Amino acid sequence: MLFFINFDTQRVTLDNLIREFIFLLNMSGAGTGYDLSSTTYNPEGKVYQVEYAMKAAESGGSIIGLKCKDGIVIGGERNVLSKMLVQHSNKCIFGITKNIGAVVTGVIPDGKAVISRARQEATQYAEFYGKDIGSTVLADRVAQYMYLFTLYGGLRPFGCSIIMAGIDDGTPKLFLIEPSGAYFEYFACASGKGNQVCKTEIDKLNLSELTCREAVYHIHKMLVKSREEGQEKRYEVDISWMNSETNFFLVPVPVEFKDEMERKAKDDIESEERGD
Amino acid sequence: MENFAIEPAPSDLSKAGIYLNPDVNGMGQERMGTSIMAAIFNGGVIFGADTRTTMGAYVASRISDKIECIHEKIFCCRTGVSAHTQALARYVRYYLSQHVLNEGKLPLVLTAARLLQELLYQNKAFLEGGFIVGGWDPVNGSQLYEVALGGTLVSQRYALMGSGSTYIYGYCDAEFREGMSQEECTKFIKKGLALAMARDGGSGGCERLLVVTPETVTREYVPQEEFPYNLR
Amino acid sequence: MALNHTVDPIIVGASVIAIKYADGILMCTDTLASFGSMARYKNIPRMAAIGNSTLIGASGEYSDFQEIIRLLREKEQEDFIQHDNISLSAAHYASYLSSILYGKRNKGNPLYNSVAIAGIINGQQYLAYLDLYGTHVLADYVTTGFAAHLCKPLLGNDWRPDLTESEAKQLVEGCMRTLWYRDARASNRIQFAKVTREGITFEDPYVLQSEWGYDSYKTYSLNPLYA
Repeated sequence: MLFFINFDTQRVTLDNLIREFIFLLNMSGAGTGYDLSSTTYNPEGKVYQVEYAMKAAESGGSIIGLKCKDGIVIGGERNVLSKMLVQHSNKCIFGITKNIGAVVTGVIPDGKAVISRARQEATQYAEFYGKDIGSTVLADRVAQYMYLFTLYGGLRPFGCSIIMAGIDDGTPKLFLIEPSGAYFEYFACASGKGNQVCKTEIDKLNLSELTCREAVYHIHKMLVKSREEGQEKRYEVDISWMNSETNFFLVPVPVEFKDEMERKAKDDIESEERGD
Repeated sequence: MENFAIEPAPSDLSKAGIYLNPDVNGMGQERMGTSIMAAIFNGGVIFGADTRTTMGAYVASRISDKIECIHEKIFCCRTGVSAHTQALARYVRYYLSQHVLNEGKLPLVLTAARLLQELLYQNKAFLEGGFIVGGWDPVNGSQLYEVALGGTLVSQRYALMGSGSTYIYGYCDAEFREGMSQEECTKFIKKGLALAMARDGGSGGCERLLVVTPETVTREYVPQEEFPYNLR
Repeated sequence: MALNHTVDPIIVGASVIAIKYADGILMCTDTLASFGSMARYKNIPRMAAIGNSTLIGASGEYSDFQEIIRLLREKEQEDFIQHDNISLSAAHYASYLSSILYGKRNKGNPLYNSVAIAGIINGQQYLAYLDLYGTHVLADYVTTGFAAHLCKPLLGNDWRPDLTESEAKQLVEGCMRTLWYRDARASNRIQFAKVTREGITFEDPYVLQSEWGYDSYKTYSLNPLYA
């Protein structure tokens, strides 16, 4: 029934031709037409464009979020594409309100579009209800926005994953939002190219005892470990945090401290390797 | 929580089949020449209101309920043109119910007040109304706000509004104390409203009181016979 | 006919006085918002801080003042989340607000306020006066409302750029006292706030001392019996 086509009565449209083509070949993989638009499932029940968007998101630099005992830390790395690039000119962490922010991986301009929408939502909410939006509500709205882009033929799903951190009524919250529009709350999460390595490393941490200052060190360590070996690419790392030190505003970690932790992380990894 | 109807009492006029030409005798829209007040006591908030609704000099309802439920623990007293304030309260009730579903927790009293402020402020050219908003929420406890004509939002320890309130500012300034017991506060409000009604033609009828504490919401009706003060 | 409250303020605050002094800027208002001639809200703030270095005070319609604060705080957050260690200064906020005021005035729907904006920019005092017409001027001392009539001469006589904080306070308190005597919408409950290089400080409101016990007051009468 799904692929029944009556050539007498139905107009010959691109869609119909594609369906007919697939019907005849009895195939469902990439390049069979199901990946042309996000309006059509493939026979396995997947929407290829969304899967591809996930791939795009997974191919960006690693990003990590850690909920600590005294606050919350998010961080991410990004490739420095050229020696001529001005430092810190391609950040991957964005503020949304004073105490909500997000780190983005994948197609960064896509991420910026989503962040821009998140900022609008936050401002509108504050205007309407007279209080700051909570990150739980904001994450939900942003996820819905990203989800909308998986529904329509003329739209391309966002090729980015977003880790959103915030403080709701004094409670730290951490969310990972994916291109499909799925989002979950985490104690700690990672996305991007090195997310497997990061997740393995996160499992080794005792999050209930971890402080924000320690977390900065661990994030550096995870990011170094997750990089592909043998490649001498240049990276820059962004880390922001929220704790009593920052008045529970999301702000970048002081540069000196960040650099110190980076050196320490690199040294420790080297000596670990020598120890082996 | 005591169960009670949220809907305002239907106008006696329609029940009686009376039709008034709105353009004669100053009988325009139904409006509440009103005495409403509220105060914070040591365990919550008490609201009070008279029960008279007028059209010009005609008493359109002598049993109206001017204390409206916005959410489980958030209430407001209305003053101004009934149609406006009823509609506004309805809007805020609706917005807040949606808000609660979104947030999954009790709404803030300030949020209710802010919604009313925004509606009054953005439409100040058309709307004639004022609100006393108050109640309890788990974040900020018992609170009271006045949302005045034009959309001014002010936090208060005790609040007065309506035409009758002008006669009792002195009484309230002199008699209100921080940290009254529920009994003292009830007395304070009962007497204040009785004094206002004694001098204000726009206010009258009986008194309705509503007590909001973190645990309970209770309503009280005070018939004229039981007023602590009557002008003779 | 539809009511038009937009050019008809309802809940109204009286004067604001702000003056530069040696270490910063001192601002003072009373804490009253009137409803017609009724002293409706007797203890409300009429000044507000925007970020860490901008102080704003306004006379006129209180709901419009609240809207102004909301708009400026919205802008402040927008600036903060850039995380670039650069923040908007009082001059930026004044400029932004004056555009809003002028724009709304041209639509016949003004924000009904006179505003003083104070801040420290590169160590220098900045003080601006804005009003509902979109006027935007800089001054060493700003007076709005009745103070523009009653206190400008007082400040003109006694203001110096090198006033100490206590001298400045004394001068402004004198002005506020004059207003309490001669402005029927003023209150004797006043509040000071200051901007210095260290930041913004709000003092607690207090009730102004005033003098009514002169002998000539006691004996004053038109009644020939007492003459």
